[in-house]
Amino acid sequence: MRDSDVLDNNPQISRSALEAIHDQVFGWALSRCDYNRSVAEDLVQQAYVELLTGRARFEGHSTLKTFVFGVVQNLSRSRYRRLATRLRLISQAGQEVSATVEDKPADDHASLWQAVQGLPQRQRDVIELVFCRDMTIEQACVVMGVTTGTGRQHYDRAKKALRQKLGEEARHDIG
Amino acid sequence: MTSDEQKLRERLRAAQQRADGEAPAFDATWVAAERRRNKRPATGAAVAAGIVALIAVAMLSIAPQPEALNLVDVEELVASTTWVAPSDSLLPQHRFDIFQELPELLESTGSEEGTLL
Repeated sequence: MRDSDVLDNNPQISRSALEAIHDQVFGWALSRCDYNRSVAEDLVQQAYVELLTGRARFEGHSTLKTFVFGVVQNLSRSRYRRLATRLRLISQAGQEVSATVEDKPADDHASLWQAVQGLPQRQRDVIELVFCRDMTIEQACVVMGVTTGTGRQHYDRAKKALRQKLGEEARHDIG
Repeated sequence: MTSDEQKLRERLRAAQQRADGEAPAFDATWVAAERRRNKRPATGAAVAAGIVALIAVAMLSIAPQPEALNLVDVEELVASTTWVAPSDSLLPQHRFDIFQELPELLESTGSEEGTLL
């Protein structure tokens, strides 16, 4: 870590370390706001402001990625909650008008994606964090702000639900 | 981790990557965040100052204005005042407060040769 790289108000964070996880942070922010890119960019910017000002202070109790994901999660819960609800309503209305949805995986991934999106929020979050963002269940629980026991329950239920959904689809395809 | 779970993980990760698309450049996001951080206190201070000013104006408009001083001429005031004692009505003819002669209150108070009876 270069000295000039270290944030003034967050001495345990370097700019280069943030740059290394930027893509994943943006991906997480995207899923926090129903894949609206401009809102996600705003969310990530605000998360960086929190780090720059030291309002969100990293003390090294977890990995930097877990910490920054947690900041994004908290911001999305507070500041962007109303906006996210509005976006969800708009998106639902849009889906009723047109069945085609932009920026969503298509073809062979579509059924799996839809199955995941159909899960309850916390199950979806834990699956995304563990399967797609390379986190352990414990780290995912820190980001989500739940106990490890609760997180494990969500994880197990999510896997079970996914298997069931995908199994049903496979049976339909064969039939 | 079972092979099924591994397959599920790989498929899901591929789907997630497609959904994520390409992230905006880190440098651009960082510069925007720095700009936002620098702008924030100034904007906040300006908003706070505006609110304080509005409250001050509102309070001044609501608060009662002090009346102009109405100075009184002392001589005029003294000349315009009179005072009457409550017992003045008991005085003969309501005028004099000094008896010219010794009043005869009862018969027994009559005098004979200078001595009271």
